[in-house]
Amino acid sequence: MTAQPADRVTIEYDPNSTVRIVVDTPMKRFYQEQVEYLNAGDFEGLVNNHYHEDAVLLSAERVVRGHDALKRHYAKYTGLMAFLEVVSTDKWIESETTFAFEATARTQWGISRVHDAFLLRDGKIAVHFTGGIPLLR
Amino acid sequence: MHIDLTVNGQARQADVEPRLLLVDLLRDEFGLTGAKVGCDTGQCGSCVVLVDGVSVKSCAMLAVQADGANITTVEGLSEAGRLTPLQAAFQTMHAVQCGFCTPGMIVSLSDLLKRNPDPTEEEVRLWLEGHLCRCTGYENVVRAVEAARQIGKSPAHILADTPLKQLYERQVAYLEASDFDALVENNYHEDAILTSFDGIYTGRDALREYFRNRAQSQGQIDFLSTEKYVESDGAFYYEALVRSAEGVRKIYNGCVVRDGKITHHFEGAK
Ligand code: FES
Ligand code: FES
Repeated sequence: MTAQPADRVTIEYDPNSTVRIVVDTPMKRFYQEQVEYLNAGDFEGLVNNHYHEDAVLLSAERVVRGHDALKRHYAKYTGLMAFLEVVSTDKWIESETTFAFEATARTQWGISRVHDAFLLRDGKIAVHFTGGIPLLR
Repeated sequence: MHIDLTVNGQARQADVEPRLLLVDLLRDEFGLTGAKVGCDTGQCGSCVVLVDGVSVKSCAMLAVQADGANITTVEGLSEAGRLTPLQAAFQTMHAVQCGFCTPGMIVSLSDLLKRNPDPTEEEVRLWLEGHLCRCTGYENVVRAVEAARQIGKSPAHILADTPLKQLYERQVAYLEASDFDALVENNYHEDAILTSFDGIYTGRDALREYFRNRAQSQGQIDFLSTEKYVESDGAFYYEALVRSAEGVRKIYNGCVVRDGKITHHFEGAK
């Protein structure tokens, strides 16, 4: 789905929520879908449905631009990280065109913390910033 | 013979044979393997360390001659884990190939820059006599010295060689000067959006207010180093170490830019 800022939705907290928050806005639902794609290892679906063709992802290590590169990136990144599930969404903020979160994930190597920020255009990601957070601050 | 010396700011002692070389004391006794032994005959410069601030080939000096001296090896150049401008420049300019000659060159060039902060290319090349790089990467080493001069002057401690890096550099300069009017006017579009975990700030008035309030609660901000920086067409991301009244912390920022000004800014702390 694409996030439409106007159509607010109300959803009760689902204890099985893959993002461990109350998913009560289209942006949060978009985020939850993202995690569901990741959980399913469906990088085709994730990139095709959530990212613009010219979308760019920037992290401290790399710049990834375009659908093909993004799919390769996700396959490699989740493979390396051995991503299993989101344990908690620790911080969340959204506007009509942006959202950002910090989350804790469980991987085969243990607990990992990440931050992600997105700029959406017409309900799909145009720019994505991402990075890791040390476990001890 | 018993000797007392200071190595990278720490008092050290050793009982050494009179024939022991300083480089062997540093490497074998103190475990400081930054200084390398390339030739052992004073020709290659890979063993250079600072003795009382002066670059010296430590394979050409006896440990006992360092009694009472203040020694700095490549391990002791950076402060609090932050690269010096010269070290950052070696990295940025790819002035390292196998890296064997690098510690000696960096220590030696640090001495040059202390004596002469603005050396000409010829002076740099002349200074590098006595340093042999088996990978023959001299060109980038010379460029790195020039880059180090620029990094040393940059408020963001980077080589600002692209328009986006220059925008970032201006950002840092305005923030350090607490000049929020100029910051917002010159660096942000009228309808720019800043997304932080404190809230969403849209438009120049809200941004000015946000930066002012933050300065009031955190005090003067000081950028200590840019740890990571990447950019693509129209966007840049950086991680930096900053000091404020709240202490030293690592921040991350992503900015989307159109026509030289920020349209969207995301920020958080690690
Ligand atoms: S090892 Fe000292 S100059 Fe070569
Ligand atoms: S980088 Fe290999 S010896 Fe200089």
